[in-house]
Amino acid sequence: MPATKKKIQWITQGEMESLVDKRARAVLKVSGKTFIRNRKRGDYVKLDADKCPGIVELALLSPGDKVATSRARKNS
Amino acid sequence: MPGRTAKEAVENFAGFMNETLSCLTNRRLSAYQKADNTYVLLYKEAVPLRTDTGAPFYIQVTQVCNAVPLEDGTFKARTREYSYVFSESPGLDHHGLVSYHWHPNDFNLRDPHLHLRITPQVGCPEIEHKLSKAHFPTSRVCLEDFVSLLLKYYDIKSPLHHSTHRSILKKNKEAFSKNATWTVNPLP
Repeated sequence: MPATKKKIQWITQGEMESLVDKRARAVLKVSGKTFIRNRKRGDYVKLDADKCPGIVELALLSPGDKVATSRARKNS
Repeated sequence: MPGRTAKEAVENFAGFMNETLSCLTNRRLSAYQKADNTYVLLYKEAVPLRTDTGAPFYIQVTQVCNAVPLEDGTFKARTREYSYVFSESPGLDHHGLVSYHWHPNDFNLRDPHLHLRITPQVGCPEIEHKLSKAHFPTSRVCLEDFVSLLLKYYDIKSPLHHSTHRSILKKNKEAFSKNATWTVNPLP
């Protein structure tokens, strides 16, 4: 069967919360809930991701549909 | 490949990505719907790879996409953010040996870029430090080019026959080139 025809595995909300929590603790040493709250507050907007490796991958998992800038919306 | 629904478009998109990644591994991406029309495709854990000589390496792939309606009523998935990491360890405590990032909504650098790390035995520690800190500007990088890089230059062993993975990567890169709405410079 071609790869494109195989079914994809969907992750549940609970699984994703667990994954975000695990990564947030590894990367920032905070819980997943704290990371999400801080991110929503804008705490990481200007963070130098070099000083916190892994935060990019963590941010991509965060809940929400953040396409914050008009530039971002055009760059699809 | 469009889908009849947004979710089907994302599943089709993930199918192409999994086909491309099958050139490196049998592991498959998982998907998560994190908002009404925002999806994450990811490996839950770093995926182990081997070189031709058996040396261990890892990849981590994360891609955020959404689905946009087309004129004919179907939907097409579009990439919103990505991270492709190739590393000698499974952890997230560094950017790996090679990582391609595009995260237009977060952090201080939002254009597509590349992180590179080389071993510190070069004899020029200052240069090594600069290299490890640099964000090398790139165009938008497709997953097929990332996979090709690992096969060609990092000697990663493919589970597929040479002719098969070449064919897959060629086909899927052509599909990317045909469907991408931008590749070089993000619009102002």
